[in-house]
Amino acid sequence: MKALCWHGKGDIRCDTVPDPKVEHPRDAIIKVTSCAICGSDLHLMNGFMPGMKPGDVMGHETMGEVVEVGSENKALKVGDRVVVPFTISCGECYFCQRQLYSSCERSNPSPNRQVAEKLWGHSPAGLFGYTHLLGGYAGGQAEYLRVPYADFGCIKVPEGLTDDQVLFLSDIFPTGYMGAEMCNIQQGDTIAVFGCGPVGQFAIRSAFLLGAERVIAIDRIPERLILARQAGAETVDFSAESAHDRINQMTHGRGADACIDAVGLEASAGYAFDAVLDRAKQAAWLGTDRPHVLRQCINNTRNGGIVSIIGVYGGLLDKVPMGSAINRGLTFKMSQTPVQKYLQPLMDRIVRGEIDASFPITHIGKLEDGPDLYRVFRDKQDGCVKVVLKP
Amino acid sequence: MNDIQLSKALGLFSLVLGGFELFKGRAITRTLGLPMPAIAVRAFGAREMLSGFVALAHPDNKGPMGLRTAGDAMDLAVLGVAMLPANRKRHNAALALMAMLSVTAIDIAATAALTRREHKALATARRTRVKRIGA
Repeated sequence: MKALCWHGKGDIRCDTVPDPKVEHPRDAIIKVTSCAICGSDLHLMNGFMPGMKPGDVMGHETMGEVVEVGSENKALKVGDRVVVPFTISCGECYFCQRQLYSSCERSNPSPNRQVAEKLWGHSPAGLFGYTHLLGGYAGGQAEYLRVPYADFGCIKVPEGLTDDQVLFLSDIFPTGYMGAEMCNIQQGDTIAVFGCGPVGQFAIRSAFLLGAERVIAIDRIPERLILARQAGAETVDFSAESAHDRINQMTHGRGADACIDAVGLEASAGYAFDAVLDRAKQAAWLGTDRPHVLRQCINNTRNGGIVSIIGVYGGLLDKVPMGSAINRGLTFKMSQTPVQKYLQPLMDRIVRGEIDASFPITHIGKLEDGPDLYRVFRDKQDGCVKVVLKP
Repeated sequence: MNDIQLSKALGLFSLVLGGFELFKGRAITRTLGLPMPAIAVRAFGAREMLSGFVALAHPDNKGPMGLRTAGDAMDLAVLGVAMLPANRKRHNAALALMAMLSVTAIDIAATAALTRREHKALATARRTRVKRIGA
């Protein structure tokens, strides 16, 4: 089958690889009908997440049609249309029973588990196409995908919904929603969303769904700011004005009730001093992540407010203003999204027409177009906001 | 080897060459008979290392390769001066000049390949675009 494979920093290729097979009785094989390129795929493309090997199949936003099921998989049958969560979870372990699906104890087995434990203290769940630290599973930017624990994770697509309407339930819609939910939004709250990429866009819309009075969206890319305004957000172009000054002005000098970091480890923050320093350290292999936006979130949250982190970080962060956080009583909430927890409630919202989840799609190509579209998405060229591939 | 791998290889080459120039500036001026102080060679080495880091950070981008090619032009100019008859070490300088010309040709080829890759990506983007936000 064809698949998009990682071959080193900046080098994604459309290769021919062996077809997946059922390896466990709870597995399913799906024929991929739609998959998307995620902002966190760019962290892999750009070589900032450790644990990738040449030839690894990329992709974790996937849906398709079931073509084969394992002998113990009674939840799915051949022909079902399903969305596949990017987190792989057994549904039975200590963490899954507590709905902490992205911490599943079984889906990242040895020897990868030990490496993750060395780096992060404990191992989280395995993820599709997201390094050998997180299971080394083949990803979904391919013609076929093996889905472990498919009897628990996948959600069937109701009749009448298109792929584009439900594909983002696999990751970015639940992730944006969780980012807003972690803000514990109260009536009258102002939420600041840093980064108006696809996840940030879903965070903006989710914050309104959850009752925020105002959402302030911070970015510098014109089409992303337009999308944010279309959702009802007030926008700040940080390349034209100081985000800190503007947010203060908009909040009577208090700061936002909660700030959402929807950027993560590759902040492109222009010529801010700390951002330039981060870039230099990263280029010279003296640092791993560029946490400019996390610093911004901390400094722009009101006293006693919440910093909600949904952008991905991978390693060790420098110069994070913990002094500001502890002296002003901030609460930090963060996680890889336990997608399974959100699948049904968000599917219900789509069915009820509360949100058109296809809104960010700007480019739809074939798998063979993937390497080019990875580059265009990364460099934010041609007005690209979200890429969907149809194998 | 594709263009991105070539770009990475050239980035590593820059780090090694730049490090050599940085730490062996005096030996290089002596061996090649360069009409310049060792500190200038060390500065060239620092520039070379910087372009190496940038190339390794952005191996699929034509920009760093352009930076390398501009650096090649500076190196060739200095080696050209070292080829004057007054330089008793000009035979050494000639060998260095030939090596430098080869590297420059590879840099130009890599820049051209990365430029083609960029143009192809943009053409794919235009073909697959289904919506332009704000249009």
